[in-house]
Amino acid sequence: MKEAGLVIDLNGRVIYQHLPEGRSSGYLPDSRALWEFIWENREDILGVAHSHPGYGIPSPSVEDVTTFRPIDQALGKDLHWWIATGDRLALYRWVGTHYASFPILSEPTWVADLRDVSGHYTKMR
Amino acid sequence: MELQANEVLVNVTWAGQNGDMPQPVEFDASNQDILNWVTEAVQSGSIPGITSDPDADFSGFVVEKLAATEVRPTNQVIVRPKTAFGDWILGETREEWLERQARERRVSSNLVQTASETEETPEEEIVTPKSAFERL
Repeated sequence: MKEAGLVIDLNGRVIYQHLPEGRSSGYLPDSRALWEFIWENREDILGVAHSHPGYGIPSPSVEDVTTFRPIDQALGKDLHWWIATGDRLALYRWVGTHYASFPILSEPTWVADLRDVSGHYTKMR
Repeated sequence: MELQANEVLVNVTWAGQNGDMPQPVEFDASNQDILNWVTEAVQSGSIPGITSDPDADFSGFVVEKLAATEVRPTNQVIVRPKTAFGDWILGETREEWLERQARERRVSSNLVQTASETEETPEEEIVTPKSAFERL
């Protein structure tokens, strides 16, 4: 499994696959290409999803949250930040003082693609 | 503006706006100095194209220095948000990662709090980036 990222537009479509060189099962390295894509498409972007290894409810790492915030600040808008594990998806958004999780009633279809490019396999429930 | 040798303009992105710092900096100035100057410039509103923001905080931004190439004839300095995710540092062994995770969990007990439980989101994470930046 290797972590991967997707940029999602306002219509819920994947508009960028983030598979940078040097990604590992626990890390997506800093990438100017990702930032440039986000900046150039800032009007159309709803949020960014990335995968975490393993299963269960994902929560953001220190590295994650210290990336969410500066990107939100640079854009001047608060993106949706999804994190997917092999069987769960979580959504985090800035609520003025911190990032809080928001309910996800059903998984968007792109989550399967994210798990696929991450090398997750489907866990039998 | 006529730049001296080794001088460069710093390009900054903040609050959906982008502009160059009016005063050039030395290309080999330290990243921390550049971040400090950028913070002061945005707070005071001295960057054309970026409105003054007294609360501007560039924690979590990176200074990227791009040396001149054939395609790009001049040096460039860009201040942009970092885009790294995850917490397994490249080169770190699994044992080192597990050890660091345990250490960070102890330190961050007030950083991530369990707030509520529902069927779809059993945990609500409350994460305060300010505290997180201080720990990096």
